[in-house]
Amino acid sequence: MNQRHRLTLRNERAEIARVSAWIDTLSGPLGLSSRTVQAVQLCLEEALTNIISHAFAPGTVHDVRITLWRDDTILHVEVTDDGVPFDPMTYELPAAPRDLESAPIGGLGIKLMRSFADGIAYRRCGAMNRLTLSFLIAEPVPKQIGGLEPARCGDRAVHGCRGDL
Amino acid sequence: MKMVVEPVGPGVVKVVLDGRLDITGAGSIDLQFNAIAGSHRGVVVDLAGVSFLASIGIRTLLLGAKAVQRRGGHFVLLNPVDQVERVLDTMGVIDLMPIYRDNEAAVAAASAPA
Repeated sequence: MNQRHRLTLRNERAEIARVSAWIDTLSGPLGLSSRTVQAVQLCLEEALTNIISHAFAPGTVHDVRITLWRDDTILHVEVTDDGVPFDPMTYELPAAPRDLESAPIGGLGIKLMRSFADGIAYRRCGAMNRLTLSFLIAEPVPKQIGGLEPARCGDRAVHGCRGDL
Repeated sequence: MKMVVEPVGPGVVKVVLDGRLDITGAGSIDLQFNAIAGSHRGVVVDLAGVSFLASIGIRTLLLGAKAVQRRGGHFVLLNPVDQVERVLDTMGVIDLMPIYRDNEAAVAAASAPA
């Protein structure tokens, strides 16, 4: 079974700093290139910044959970939270700026996430947002974690609402 | 995130950044960076030591560039690494903040008259 790696954050901006360090520690065991590591770190920072900044009522405490696993060719990263529904795939991106004066300074993160992840899926599952980012990886699975099964279509943790998260 | 400011001409500075320009890094330099951008007519931002750029860091750079340009000055970037350049390119801000590979050319561009 693909080993799942999990990290839970509180909904505080300072918590986001933990994520990149966590991805760094997983890069060796999962056999990820520096390019994949940076893409994952970038997309997670953008997703988490959005969630922590906009998903919750001020002053309330929530958990945001990250689950990460790989199969032969894809690294899957799932982010779940119980904030207000938000589908980053339907968010209308700002147009490319024509000049500095009109260049927007917000809304940049979702564009980066859509560009640097190879796939993004969003589902509202009851009271939960479930965002799944996928990254194509060329690097082989390291031998020491061999025996992985390929991801199954219909895997409940990927596509369903009642995964064992 | 480390930030070193070197004067390179009258009213013109080079800002050397070192570290990750992510939510933590940008937060640690924003105030000082804004103050520099708000008080110089030319700014070269040396990105060679920046290993990672997220949208929060683009925001820092864009706000600085806006502040300099508003007063008729020039704001240019020097030597971003691949990941950083890909992010700048993806966001379509390369045309707004020119990238130079040569220190002298960057300083000359930042020092040009309005």
